[in-house]
Amino acid sequence: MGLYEETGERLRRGMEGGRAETLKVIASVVLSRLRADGGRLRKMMERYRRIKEGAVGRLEELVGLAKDSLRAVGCEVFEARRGGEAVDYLLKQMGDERVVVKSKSNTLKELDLVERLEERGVEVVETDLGDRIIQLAGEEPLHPVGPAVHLTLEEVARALSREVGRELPPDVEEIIKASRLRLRERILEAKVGLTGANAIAAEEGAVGLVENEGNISLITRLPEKHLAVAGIEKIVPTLEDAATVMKTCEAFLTVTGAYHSFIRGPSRTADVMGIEQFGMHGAKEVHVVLLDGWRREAVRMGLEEVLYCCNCGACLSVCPVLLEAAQAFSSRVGAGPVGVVRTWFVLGPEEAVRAGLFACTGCGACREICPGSIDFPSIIERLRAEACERGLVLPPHISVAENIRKTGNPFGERRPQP
Amino acid sequence: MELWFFRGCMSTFRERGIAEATVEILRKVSLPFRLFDRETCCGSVLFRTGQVEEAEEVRRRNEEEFSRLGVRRLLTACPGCYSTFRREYSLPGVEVLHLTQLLRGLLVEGRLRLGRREVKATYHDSCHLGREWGLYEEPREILKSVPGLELLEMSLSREFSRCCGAGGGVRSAFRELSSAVSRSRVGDALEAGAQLLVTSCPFCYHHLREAAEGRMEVKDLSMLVRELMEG
Repeated sequence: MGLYEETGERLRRGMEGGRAETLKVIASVVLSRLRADGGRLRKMMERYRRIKEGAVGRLEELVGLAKDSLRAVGCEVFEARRGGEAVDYLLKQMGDERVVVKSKSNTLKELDLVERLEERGVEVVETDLGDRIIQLAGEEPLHPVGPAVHLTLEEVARALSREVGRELPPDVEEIIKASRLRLRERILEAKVGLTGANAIAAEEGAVGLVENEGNISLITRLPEKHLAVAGIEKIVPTLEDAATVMKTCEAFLTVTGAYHSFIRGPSRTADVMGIEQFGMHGAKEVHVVLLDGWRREAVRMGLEEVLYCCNCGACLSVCPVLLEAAQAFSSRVGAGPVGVVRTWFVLGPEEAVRAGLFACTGCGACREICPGSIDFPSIIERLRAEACERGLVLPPHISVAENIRKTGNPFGERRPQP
Repeated sequence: MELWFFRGCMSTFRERGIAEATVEILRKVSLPFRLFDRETCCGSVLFRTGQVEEAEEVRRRNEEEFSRLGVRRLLTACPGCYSTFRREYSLPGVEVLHLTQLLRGLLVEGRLRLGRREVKATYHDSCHLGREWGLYEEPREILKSVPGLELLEMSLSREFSRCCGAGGGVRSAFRELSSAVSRSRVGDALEAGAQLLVTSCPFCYHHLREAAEGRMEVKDLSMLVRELMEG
């Protein structure tokens, strides 16, 4: 089967899955919020965009500043040009540890880190409930910020029962309580916590994290070692900018609240005879991996707008294609318009075509709801042009071009007499 | 200034009613206009599908033709052509107009008066016209000028309008996906309680009418205006 037929088949399967219906429910949440309080959020979007434009505009300077500041507050900083370097560093930091507790992160997905850790015999425990359910159920996530919402109560109870060691009833409160207790055990037992980052404040040397459940607070405090991975686009000049980025991101998430944390190095105390000691209540070591991967390449191509993405997932709420084809319009590194763009850079042009590079209608609804006003239709058009140059143009589109060349119209028909 | 009407491929080959309606409206309001003898595709489909080289060739040919003919005022009934002329073409000194803009102008000047039609209608924003160029109000003003017509909004409208699903080469490449999107859009219109779904794009019209399968009336604005024109 050719790439075109394969993509068509994937999309058909996505439409049959029946999952699109659940997506429609999530979709209305952010849209309603934006409508109810349009003015405030619009202003916030403008501020957010200005911060990101400024930060990406002085990326190299900020990377240097962030490294210095993070080191000054006691973080270990590793700069990774390529994804593989980041993976190697993180694996090295795992040492002989056999369990790692992890939070949701698109950057970690990009690195395919879970797979790499599991290959090495490390058990990765997802601590976001949705991700944990998906992990235990062996399912494909539906939506990055609501990965398990398509599963029924019975399916969720079944997925979690073995992990908690007893038959769970299909009752949401019971499920939450049992999961909380079990996950706490797992977090206490782990020596390493693995997270992404929502923002990095360059001047102060701070890692900013946004969460609704509280799992990130626990896994960045309780294990001895905290490994944070951030794309270099997450770096903004100051703590105030980082706060704006984080509150904007939160405002566009499906579930808002509850925690924003800034981590400036390991936990410390000097209460015993003034001797500085690390790892009192929180992590003893904080490692920050600053990942380039494809980001500088995107800037070189003039597609730096992609770096304004904060992974809120709002674009997925309004994407007409995603609402029909669900996860068929995605790859393992992301869903919807932004997922397709990221797929291009991380997994390459062919995978981008498979993920739906040519399934986007270019409607631009994503650009309207995006807090960074990222012009996805233009970016996707540009990547399509790049794909065509590599011979990845789709057969029906070739026919259209041939028709135009021969007859002056896409239908290849003779012009009727007026 | 002489008005040139670029009919566009969809209105020439698939939905001739739109080009015919436009021509008739222009005649009725006594607006002199000219048609292109050798009109060729604007290249929109090529630009949208990444076939830049072919698209640029079409663009150059059309630019030369417009310049040879001395075109200064260019009317389209297709938002795809409209957007491509404004975005990709270099047409210095040429005013590019979409039919909805022209009609709104005529409405304001009192040269366009529409007769009564008792109907619950809703308007579907074409992505190229709405989100891309902000032409949200023009078509709505025209619809509101129809006595008896009740204009209802779909929950997804204006900047968050759901695409009809035909754009970006998706209709030609992934027909089932494209049709699924248009069926959802017709669903939006029915949910709003509308009997009539109006758009001002030949592609949206073609695609939505197919998806409606007779469940509701679908019309391009040009066709509705022609039907209701007085005088």
